[in-house]
Amino acid sequence: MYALSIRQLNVWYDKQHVLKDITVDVPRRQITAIIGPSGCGKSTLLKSLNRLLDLNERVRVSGQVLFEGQNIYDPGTDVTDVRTRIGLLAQKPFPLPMSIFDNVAYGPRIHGLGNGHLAQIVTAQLQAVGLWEEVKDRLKAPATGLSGGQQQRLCLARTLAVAPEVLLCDESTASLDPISARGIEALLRGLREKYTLVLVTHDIEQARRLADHVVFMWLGELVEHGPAGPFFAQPEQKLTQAYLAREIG
Amino acid sequence: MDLTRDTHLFKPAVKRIAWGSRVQRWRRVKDSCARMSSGTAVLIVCLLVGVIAATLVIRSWPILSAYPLDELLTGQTWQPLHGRFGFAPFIAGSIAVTLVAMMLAVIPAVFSGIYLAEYTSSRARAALKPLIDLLVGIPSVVYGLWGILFIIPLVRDVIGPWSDRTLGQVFPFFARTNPSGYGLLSAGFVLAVMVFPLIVAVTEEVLRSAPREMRETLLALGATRWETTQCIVRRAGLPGILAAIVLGFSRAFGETLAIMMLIGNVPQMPTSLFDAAYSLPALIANNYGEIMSVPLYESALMGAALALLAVVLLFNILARLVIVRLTQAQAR
Ligand SMILES: Nc1ncnc2c1ncn2[C@@H]1O[C@H](COP(=O)(O)OP(=O)(O)OP(=O)(O)O)[C@@H](O)[C@H]1O
Ligand SMILES: [Mg+2]
Repeated sequence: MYALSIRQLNVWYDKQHVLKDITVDVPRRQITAIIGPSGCGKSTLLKSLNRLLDLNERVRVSGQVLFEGQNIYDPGTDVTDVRTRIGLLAQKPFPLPMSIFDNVAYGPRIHGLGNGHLAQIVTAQLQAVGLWEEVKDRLKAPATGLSGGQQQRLCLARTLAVAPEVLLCDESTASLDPISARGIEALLRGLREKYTLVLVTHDIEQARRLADHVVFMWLGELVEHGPAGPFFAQPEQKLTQAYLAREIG
Repeated sequence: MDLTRDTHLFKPAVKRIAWGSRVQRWRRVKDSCARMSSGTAVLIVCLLVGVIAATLVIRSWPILSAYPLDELLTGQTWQPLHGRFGFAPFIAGSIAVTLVAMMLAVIPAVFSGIYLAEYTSSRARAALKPLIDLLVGIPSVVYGLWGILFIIPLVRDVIGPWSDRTLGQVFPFFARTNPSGYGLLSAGFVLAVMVFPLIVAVTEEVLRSAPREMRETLLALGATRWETTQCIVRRAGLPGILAAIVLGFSRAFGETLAIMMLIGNVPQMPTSLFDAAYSLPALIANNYGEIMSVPLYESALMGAALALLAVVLLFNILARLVIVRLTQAQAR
């Protein structure tokens, strides 16, 4: 039922306590949206889910994140495996400094997927994100030459090409124009069939459009969470009501 | 809200300063001063290179016009008293000792740089980096002395005999031709120790400056540390690492004192790792100001300096071309 179960997760940057006792479950094959004002710890929570926080030496983590029943913070965990199965789409598209083809092919290559039919995998992923028609004649061209919206779709294709089970998206439409943003949104909605999605957004409307499940955070604490319908219709907490009415935040 | 009624909202909060005012004029003066002074500095540097090259050409002109160039470059005898000026042994000695040093230094140095940049914690790095900077700053005479006290006996008593017994039986290049220990290997070894920290420092710097997003992206795709490092080195670091190697080469090629103390200073074409040899900078340093009464001697030494400059310049230009090509290829 749940792909990820977060249990009493605490995160500190040096002395600063940025995530406080977060306990929440992420349902499988649904879209979970994390909302909240800037600086409340949304990105930190997201990065804690595939151990990308480890890159920062000043970070300290306590608590558990159970992925399919396994705590990914267990000392014996294969971090590479966790990151392969839980993919991340960053806020700003970052094409690797290589060709369009190689960007998508990089993941399958290192994981030894698709020996011999790499081209098919790349084609399929580029088609899945609706980029194929635009780039099929210049697969060998540098990916940095694409527009912002194209780059973000390329990054999505690249993430999906390693066949993750969970997809984390950190405000992945925030740096795009409205039309490209809608395009990415439509893609994400379509991905719900096959993946568990966790989206961070500070756009309440986007959360309304996409989310099956909502998590509302405030100053590092989880205020309220639940299925999207009731959450938006009758939020229980005063803080949530005020945030949704845009009185605070 | 009726905005037209609240006219105070549209009053500019800060009064604009007119372009002609004193403050603005002062800003423009500072701007053009900065441009002019930095431009002048660049000009002086360029002029300096030109002046040095011109001086060398003018002063070495007597010997360049007295002998054909190929005779100077390929001539193997150096007997100024008999009017024979063959530069070949010195050029060969310099190139050989630099190559030996680079062979020994480059790979360990690049890997050390990679290790420092990608694998250490910032605390370990903070402890190690000053150490490396210190190594860069040690004067060459100290390296030379250390070579005499430590490397020479090692090469003479351990490495030389061992190499002679094993590899030397098959390849004459490894045969111990000279029992003193002073020669290419000793000088090259100390030279390698000298350029090592330089290449480490630059490599580390280059890899650290790769965008953080790149590292994050690769790791988030499930790449291991090593795969991430490989990709960063190949896609973002290669031109910089190459530049580091070029820097090391130039440093090694121009090194004078440490080589002079260790290479044996015998003007011959080296054929073995253990041969004594002679380097261009050592030739100049050992002889300049001495028997200047010999005709063309001073001019010949100037020619040696010119050759030194030419090789370093040529190498740098070639490397620059490779780096430009690499940078272009990487964008693809
Ligand atoms: N690398 C870091 N070093 C130190 N403190 C950090 C770092 N990253 C985040 N923080 C702190 O952690 C807190 C939460 O940051 P986080 O980036 O998770 O917020 P966010 O909810 O994603 O905000 P936004 O909506 O602006 O992206 C902030 O107070 C921030 O100052
Ligand atoms: Mg954020």
